[in-house]
Amino acid sequence: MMNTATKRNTLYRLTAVAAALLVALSACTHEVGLFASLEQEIPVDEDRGFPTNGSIHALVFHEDGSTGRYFAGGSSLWVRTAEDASEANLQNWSRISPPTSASRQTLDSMALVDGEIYAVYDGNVYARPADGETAAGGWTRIDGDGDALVAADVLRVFAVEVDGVGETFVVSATRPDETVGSRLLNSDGTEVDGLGAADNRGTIYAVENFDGNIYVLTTAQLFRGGDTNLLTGMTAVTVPGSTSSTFRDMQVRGNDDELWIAGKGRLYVGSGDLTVSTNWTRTDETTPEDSSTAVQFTSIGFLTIGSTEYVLAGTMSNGLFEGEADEFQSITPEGSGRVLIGRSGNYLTTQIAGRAVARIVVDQNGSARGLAGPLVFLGAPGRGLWRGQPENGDFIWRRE
Amino acid sequence: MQHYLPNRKTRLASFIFVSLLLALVASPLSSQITDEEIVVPQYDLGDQFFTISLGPMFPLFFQNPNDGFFNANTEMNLRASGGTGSLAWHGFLNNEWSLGGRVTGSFMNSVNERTLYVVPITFEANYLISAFPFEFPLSVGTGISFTGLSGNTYVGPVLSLGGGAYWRYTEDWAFGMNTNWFWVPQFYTNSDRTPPPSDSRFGNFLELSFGARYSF
Repeated sequence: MMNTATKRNTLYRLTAVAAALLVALSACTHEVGLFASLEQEIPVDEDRGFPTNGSIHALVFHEDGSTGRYFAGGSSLWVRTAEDASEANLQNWSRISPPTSASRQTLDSMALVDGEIYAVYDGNVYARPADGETAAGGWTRIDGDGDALVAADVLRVFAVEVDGVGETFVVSATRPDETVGSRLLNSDGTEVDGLGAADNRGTIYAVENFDGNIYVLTTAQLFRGGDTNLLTGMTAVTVPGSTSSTFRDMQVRGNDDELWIAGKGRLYVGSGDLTVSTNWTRTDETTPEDSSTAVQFTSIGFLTIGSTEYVLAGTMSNGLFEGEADEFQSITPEGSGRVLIGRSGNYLTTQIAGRAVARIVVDQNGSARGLAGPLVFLGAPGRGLWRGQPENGDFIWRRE
Repeated sequence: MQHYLPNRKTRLASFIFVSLLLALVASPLSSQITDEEIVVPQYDLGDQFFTISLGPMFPLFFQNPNDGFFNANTEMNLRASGGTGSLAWHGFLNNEWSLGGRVTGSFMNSVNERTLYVVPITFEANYLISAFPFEFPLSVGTGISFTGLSGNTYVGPVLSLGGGAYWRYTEDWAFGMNTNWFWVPQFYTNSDRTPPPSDSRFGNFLELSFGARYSF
């Protein structure tokens, strides 16, 4: 044992250190009602047959008259019928068997084309009726002319409306490898040219028809082509303020009102002639695009509640952002208290808060089926499929 | 989930009682009791001890100050129990009183599998009641608590009140149990950057842990 003097000195020193630590740490502050959010927590798992740890790469909503079907693709392909307001009509998910020629169940991409589901399995594109049975069979492989599509390693499939001829056509993006970025293939298997140097292209994320032109979004660049079902001669369009390769999604708002692009640290919004730089704007730039703390947006959706249209933006690891679409500069994290949807909702009590949101799909017509309002589905990698909808004045999220 | 708790508690109490009896028989200090000269340890100014504890943490209830300070709201939506561990150091002022500090880490899961972390760092005053070879420390503490949930953190005050029962296995080592009540307020004021005052809650948690104490 120590002598008395040494013990006394040690006691005084340790007490002083503890007091200094207390003073230093007491200066910290924070701002979330943690206990209150626990108190408001409601069980979110509805056990509708969707795996709670499922990964989702694609979401599609197919509406046929007053009924609808939701498709969710990832580790497998799942479908369920949209319910009406009756509790007796709650629907569960069923798994759709993959094509018999596919060696694995994982679905990489999906698109709705004239009442058919186009899906990518194992680098190939398959199609089947959207209202077909869930059992095996029914899949047809899309070969393209001369089997050109079969020879390609397809990663994504896109359905694009062509205004001029009033039809939907399909383009496919190949999987990028270590040296060559994605190639874009027309439905006849021919490669779309003009998408920049292939080794600097990255992944092709989206293809949309906006205001009479076809736009192709790659990781690094936006391209524009004519309103035709056989793309060729794409030209680059500058998105002002974008300096790095961070694009992930592109969506058209309204009736060709605006084109929205998900980037890093911000969303870009263009209207009218997108080759004119002054026709572009973007969310605030308080966080530099190249900052390690900048939020990487991954997906975009639009939702109308009452007379207000909201933009929803999924992120790589920061949960869901939202804001009024007409005043998008103020887009903020869901549940932050600065936005209008569901300040008292349960978003902050769920596992999607602050995590990845890969896909968004909105069923705007829930009200037409007697529901309290539109439905939003979020695909959260490794955390399943989430459904949000208005309930008693709040916006409530539940896991399917 | 809660219906099995009484059985678990009963088993736990039985286990502790039997363990203490067995340990008492095997204790080096117990052999001293049979000797003619019984040595009863005394503590002096500067004597110190470290304590390490592990056990379950039970969420009790939230208080909503907006509904009245003593109005308990039991909708915590946490599982029946989580886990806790602590490290403490104390220095004696005399044979009864000691001062020191404790760092406690605890976690509890919500009904939606969110994990609540409560990490109190407390300055403690400890009064020791001795009945050799048993000792019964009573403590009161205050400090700050780090509370984490879904990536958000709140730093605020904490008060603790606790008691324990220890058995002196040797002159240096003692083993026993602790129970500590933690009162963790979360205050919010009118500010654009914080939740509204209506989100203020006072959390109440109960630790029940096994402890090992080393005196030097």
